Amino acid sequence: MSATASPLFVQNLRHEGLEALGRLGLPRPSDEEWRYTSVATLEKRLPEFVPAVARSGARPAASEEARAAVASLGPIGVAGRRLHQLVFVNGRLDSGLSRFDGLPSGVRFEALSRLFGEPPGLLAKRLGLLGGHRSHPFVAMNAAHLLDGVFLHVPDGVVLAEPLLVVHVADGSAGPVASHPRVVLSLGENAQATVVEAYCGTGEAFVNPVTEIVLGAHAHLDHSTLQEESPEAFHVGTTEAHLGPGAQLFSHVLSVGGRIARNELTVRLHGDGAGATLDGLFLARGEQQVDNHTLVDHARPHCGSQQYYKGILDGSARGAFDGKVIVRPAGAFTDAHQKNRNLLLSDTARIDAKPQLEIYNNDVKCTHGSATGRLDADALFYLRSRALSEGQARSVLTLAFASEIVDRIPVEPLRAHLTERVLGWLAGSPEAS
Amino acid sequence: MNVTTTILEIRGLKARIAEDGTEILKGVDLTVNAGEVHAIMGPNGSGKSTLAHVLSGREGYEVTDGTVLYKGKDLLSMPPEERAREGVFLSFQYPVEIPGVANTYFLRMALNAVRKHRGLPEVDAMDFLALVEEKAALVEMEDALLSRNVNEGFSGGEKKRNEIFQMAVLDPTLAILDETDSGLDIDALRVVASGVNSLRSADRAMLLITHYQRLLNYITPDVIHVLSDGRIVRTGDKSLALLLEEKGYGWLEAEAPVGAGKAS
Ligand SMILES: Nc1ncnc2c1ncn2[C@@H]1O[C@H](COP(=O)(O)OP(=O)(O)OP(=O)(O)O)[C@@H](O)[C@H]1O
Ligand SMILES: [Mg+2]
Repeated sequence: MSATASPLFVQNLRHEGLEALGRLGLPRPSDEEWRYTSVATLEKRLPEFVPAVARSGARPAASEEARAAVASLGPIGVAGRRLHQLVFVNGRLDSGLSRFDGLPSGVRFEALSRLFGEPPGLLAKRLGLLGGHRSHPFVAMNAAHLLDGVFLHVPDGVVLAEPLLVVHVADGSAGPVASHPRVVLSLGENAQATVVEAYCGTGEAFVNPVTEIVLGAHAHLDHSTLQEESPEAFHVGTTEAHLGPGAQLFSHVLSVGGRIARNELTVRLHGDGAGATLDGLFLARGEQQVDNHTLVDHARPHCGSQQYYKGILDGSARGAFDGKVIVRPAGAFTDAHQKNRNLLLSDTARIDAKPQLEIYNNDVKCTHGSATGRLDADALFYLRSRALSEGQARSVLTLAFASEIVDRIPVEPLRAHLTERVLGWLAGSPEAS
Repeated sequence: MNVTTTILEIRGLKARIAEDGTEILKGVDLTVNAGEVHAIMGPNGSGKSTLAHVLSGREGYEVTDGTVLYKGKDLLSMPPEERAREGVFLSFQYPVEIPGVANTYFLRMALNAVRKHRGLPEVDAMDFLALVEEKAALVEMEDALLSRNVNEGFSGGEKKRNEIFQMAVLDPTLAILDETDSGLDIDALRVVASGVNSLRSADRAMLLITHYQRLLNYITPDVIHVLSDGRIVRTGDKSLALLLEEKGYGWLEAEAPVGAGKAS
């Protein structure tokens, strides 16, 4: 489908994005919010990355390598076809790998490109609703390039028992490639769903996804983002969630891949009694950089938020956790907690932790804390004194560190996959051999 | 005819704290044969745990003199895991808590590492379960503790039971028990002691570090040594423990020049 055939609301969004991007420009390294992301490196490389459609003209077929990357997600579903799943290659739907039939009636779980051919419905109201494309350079860029993505709508009172899977494959095997996927998740009142977004791939790629989440009153969403693109990939992901009264979001941001990866998560608690639990796990080694940003906006009374981010860094990797909690004047009886723990496996790895609280109401309970350490020497010796090799001992302890986050993922195959990932990561790590 | 096999032979062992150079072991001589149980007693800070740590390969100590032969091999040149695989087991005075690592998961890894070293195949899940049940019964360890994380939130007594349980599963040749009796109530002491006694065998040797004669009522040692200020200042049979119970260590120190004064 060509851009001109898109419905008006999509064309408008693209224009607004393009206009905002021109106005805002890319972030400067001096920008406080961006000081831990190498924007300069990104900016220098950006022109090399082109949308796959521009290169091949048509829908590209996934390369062998890309198919292998998808297959490596194995237990999560793609190969076994156990989950409802939408698979995108370089931002375009691969309907051969996708499966979206058999969901309860009224549930929409569709590729945006297919919906663009229908009369505008709820999607027209939801897409771009959170407005980031006017103020955030990379969200604006995503809007300007909008081609495809996912729309999920779960109507009032509908509970989806099975998790839904969205896979984005960045296939850079034929040269550097850019994609700007958009995911819109909308849950009605008392609706419940579990969604996994997986980002994988091969070769050089720039992936700039935007996820918009709107939860109606008392809706429950469990949302996992698995970011495991190739070591040459650049990933700038932005997720924004808007929670109605009593709505609950459980977010898991799991980051293992990429040359530079940035995961930005904004949660707006805009209904009384809404709650969010934000878990994060990031692993980086070599020259990788992984940058996690959270913003939790307590705008109404009786809202709760718990953040727990854990980082494991090896080699010369750099990691950042920049987490902010704002309690607005109307945010009485806020209960907000933020915790960050990091494990450094080498002397050259580095972590920047910046927990911040901005509180404009006195009736609140807020805590935050960050700690960074190394593997416990006593525990290492204990394990070795029981015959485990040094490498085994390090693996066991590192996996244990990660397990606090991994164990809270409700999707069993994702848990299993991530455990394998961490173990594989450790096995490839020079210090753990 | 009886052939004695020497399990452990320590000669003139001197060791210091790597960090600040403080000498803790000042020339230890000790020979332990297969089938024997030796008790090491001595005042706080005399170097008992240091000796146990040096024997098991803990970092942070520097051996400045002496040799340690284990089954005729140079023990000090082996990394800790190799010592363990060769059959050295240390029951820690302060067992370490390891959050996030399940007891049996870890123990199975440990057992397989030992078996691999001995040229045996990995233990299968059913056999491991049977072994775990058998050995847990030996120290009356509750099932719940088996699946919990290693020592995490265990009471002091539960930790010590866990040590003996692990020892039973790993089947060592030389067991070094560092104050395994401390912090145990009477019943736990009896259970742990009977666990240890059931592991006594003609081809195994044990080193019991203890402060209390009480333990020696349950586990009768063949030899008792007194370690004082980094040296073994007295060696005797089990009557020595009773004497120490009665008179303390002060009288030994007064006599110390006799045993410890020889030029090194
Ligand atoms: N890592 C260390 N750093 C500094 N000092 C140490 C270290 N390890 C041991 N020491 C010191 O060495 C001395 C001997 O300690 P050790 O633990 O061996 O004594 P112990 O005989 O086991 O005593 P206890 O009966 O109290 O268990 C003590 O003075 C102790 O403070
Ligand atoms: Mg001690």
